[in-house]
Amino acid sequence: MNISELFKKVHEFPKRTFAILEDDQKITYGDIINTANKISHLFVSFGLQQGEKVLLSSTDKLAIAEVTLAAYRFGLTVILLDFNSKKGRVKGIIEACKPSLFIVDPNLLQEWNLETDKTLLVKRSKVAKSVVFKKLFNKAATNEAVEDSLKSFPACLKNFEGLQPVFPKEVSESAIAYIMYTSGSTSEPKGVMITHANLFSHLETLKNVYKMDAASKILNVLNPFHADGINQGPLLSFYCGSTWLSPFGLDTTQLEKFYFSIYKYEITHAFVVPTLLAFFEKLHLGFEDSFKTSDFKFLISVAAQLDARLWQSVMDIFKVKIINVYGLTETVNGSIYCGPEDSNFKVGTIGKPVDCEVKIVDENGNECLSNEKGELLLKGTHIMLGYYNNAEENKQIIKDGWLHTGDIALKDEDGFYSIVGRKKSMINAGGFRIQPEEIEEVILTMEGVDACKVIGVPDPILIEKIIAFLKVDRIIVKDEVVCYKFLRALLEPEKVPSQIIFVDDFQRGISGKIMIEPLKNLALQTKTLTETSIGSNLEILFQIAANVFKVKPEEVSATSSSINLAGWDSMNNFIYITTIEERFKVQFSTSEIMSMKNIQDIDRIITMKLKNV
Amino acid sequence: MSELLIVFLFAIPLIFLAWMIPQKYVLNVQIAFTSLFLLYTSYWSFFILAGITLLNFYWLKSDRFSPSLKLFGSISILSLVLVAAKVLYSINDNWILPLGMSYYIFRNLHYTIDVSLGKIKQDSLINYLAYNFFLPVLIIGPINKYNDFIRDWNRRRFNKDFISLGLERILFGTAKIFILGNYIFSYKVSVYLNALPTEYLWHKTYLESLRFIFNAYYQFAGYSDIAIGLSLLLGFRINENFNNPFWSTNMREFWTRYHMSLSGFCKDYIYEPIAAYFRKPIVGVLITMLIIALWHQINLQYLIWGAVQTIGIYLARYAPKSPNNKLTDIISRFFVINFFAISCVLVSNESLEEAIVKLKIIFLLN
Repeated sequence: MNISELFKKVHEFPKRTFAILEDDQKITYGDIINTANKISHLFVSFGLQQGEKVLLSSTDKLAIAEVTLAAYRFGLTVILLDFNSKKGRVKGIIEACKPSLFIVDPNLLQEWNLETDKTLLVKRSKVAKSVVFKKLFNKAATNEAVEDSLKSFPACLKNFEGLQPVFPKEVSESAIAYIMYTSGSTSEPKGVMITHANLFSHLETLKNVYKMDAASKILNVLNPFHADGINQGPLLSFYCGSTWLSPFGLDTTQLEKFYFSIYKYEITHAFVVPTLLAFFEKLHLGFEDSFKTSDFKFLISVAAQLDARLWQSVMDIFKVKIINVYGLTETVNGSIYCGPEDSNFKVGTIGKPVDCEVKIVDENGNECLSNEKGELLLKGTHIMLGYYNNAEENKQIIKDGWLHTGDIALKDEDGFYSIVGRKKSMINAGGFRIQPEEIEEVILTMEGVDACKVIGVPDPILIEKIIAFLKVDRIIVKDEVVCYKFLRALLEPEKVPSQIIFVDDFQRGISGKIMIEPLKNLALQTKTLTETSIGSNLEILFQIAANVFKVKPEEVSATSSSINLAGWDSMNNFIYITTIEERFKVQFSTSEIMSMKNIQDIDRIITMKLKNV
Repeated sequence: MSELLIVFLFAIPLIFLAWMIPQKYVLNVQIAFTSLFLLYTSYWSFFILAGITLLNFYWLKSDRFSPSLKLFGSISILSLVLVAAKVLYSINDNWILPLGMSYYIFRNLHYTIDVSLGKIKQDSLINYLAYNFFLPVLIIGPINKYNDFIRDWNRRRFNKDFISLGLERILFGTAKIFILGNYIFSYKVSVYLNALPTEYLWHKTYLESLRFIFNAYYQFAGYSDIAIGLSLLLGFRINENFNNPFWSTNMREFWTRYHMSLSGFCKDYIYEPIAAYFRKPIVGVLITMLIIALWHQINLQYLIWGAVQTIGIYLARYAPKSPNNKLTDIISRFFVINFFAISCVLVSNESLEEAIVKLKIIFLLN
């Protein structure tokens, strides 16, 4: 089914719920089609033609779903960008793909230095409310407010109320639906081009594999700027005529919302990443029955390799099936699926391919036998068209229609595939696939840095943690905190290294390449401050916080929290908690961890626990 | 009976309202209805419960006192209120125990201890008020737990299965109270036993002991069913209170299946700390059973009854361990029913002297 057929299909059930978002806001299929129709006029008013590009970045999940669907139907190419993206990266992307329209949050206009006449600002609630209140109190809205509302989305759609949509009759299957930028911080952004044929053939596969239908209720709170968030959330729901639920953000400090939502919203499928499952494993007490509802089918783990121990452990705790999907941004979402059928299910493997061809080849391109390692190659209708304007890279990655994944895999005698390594230097940090070169590129722009190397080392929570090794030629930059301040300003939170280690020099191989193994050993030997910290409980908590969140100790206080302390994101929050547990030799309960809002709270709970001991 | 009717009179409009108004107002409405019910049936109980809830919440939340002082202070006050009420009830015939007090004091003790252990997140007063002012379980339990209540509140949605199951439980509960309890065991069997000629004194006394426990069980289990059913109609799942207790093969098992919310509470907060402190489980069992006994009523009869239950639990270690042997199962169940029935002779009679006379008859000692 293509996009125009889909639009026709959903016209048949305008009252069915398409989405349930924050504050239980309910959007019907009638609502989404109505809005998409008006957006078509918006595109025309900006003079957009089929094939042109729209850059979209907002915290407003509904706006993202609305604009994306309307753009696909209009034949535009969508470029979804994380609102946390840094200026340098955004500049590179804009220069490379030249979008004709930007629909972004207001703060991004200045931050990214966007052209005002090509930009529409997403201001849903505030503008809408202020205009409503002015109407309520019978006060004429000021010219400024009216003008402001016309430049903002969705208020500007008012002009197109009641008009027939201006969508083209059909959108070519070879048209590019979206370009997803996977890496490249400044100079060489790498945009994965997915055509309508890629996207919609893959949605059909996903629908069949997950056994979804109109009654499905899909909980997907993953980041919509990643393929797993947008495609397996609003798009997959739209494709199945089912309901997408994203009533809260992905916040690991409030896992109870995730647990509660399964029963409350009658969820049938829930998407998770392995890092979230690590949180489930740790914080489950009192929530073990969360997935035991008559509606729930299974958890779907995406975005990163799922460790067999964690996989089995979470299934045992919650008595729920977790299916694991192997795929890349280059394959829309998936390719190889472990489950849900028992014949496809073997914990620790990535399962078996669906709707695609797979082969494992050795260095000479010869196909490997069972249990022989080699590079995993994929072929199918869902394989990307290529990287945008990157002919050189395309030649390397797609040969004779086969996508070279860079992952080292093997196939066992029962036909199950497993990933055993990586050909490329990709780091999988908390479900984010990160190119170390991208971070190195930024580090090298720091004054005084002579050379650097970024690697990933195994981590029980993050899957892999990023460690940066720096060789500096001036003592001034040999301050971890200064480095972190610099990196945080230029890198997205997930790309900021967990640890920075200063080295005098790098060991290099015959070819001059930096040797990785000595660095891994060095990382293991480097003791962190937390293991040796001394002082009162509160002082120790400050020291650990400074070390985990990479800030100066004097920046930490008893009232420091995720709201006011740089680096205290939900991922680091968990590392902070587990480090405290190790340091004080205590075990926090689920509700204790969930009640910790700042360092003062943690100190209070530790004091209480130590007294009880 | 009249209280049950009043519960229904308040619960029925509450249930309808709870599904008609926006979710954010449901707890407030539930607190209001339960308050009105209490003010109507036992205004003393309303003021005590409201006072306990507010004081305990702010006392436990206060940063001015040490955690141990907060724990000790709260447990002491709560226990004192309950003991004072029970002592007054025992010595003064005109004193009526405030409605539901035995249950809500235990609920608050659980809240205090779990807040102190960090198991409960002390988030909002409304949640705590709603937990304490929850009409279905207010007067006769079960002693539900705070986290379970809050979890169900956060998950709450209209569920047709809950509605049909809730109505079913209310029907079963009403049948247990009125048909099995009131009609058969309170009326029919009593009439039959009273009609027995005097030469059948042993039969009469023995059968009366059985009648007493079955009547008590069906009345109590019936009320629990209604409480669970009403909770389901409001969208909450409440823990079970009975699990076929007379199917138990020893007294230890019996006390895990009879009045489970009370025995579970006592296991968590009395038995385990005491057994761990003395390193002697039997001391934990003895103190736990004595507290369970005195929770019912403070007098010598109940004290002895508690000690006898301890002996029953102690004897469980000698119970035959052959689960697949039907004959031993039947004998064991027969023992459990008779042990419990005969021990309850101690509390089913007006005085200890009267109970001893009955026990002498049963044991052919007169």
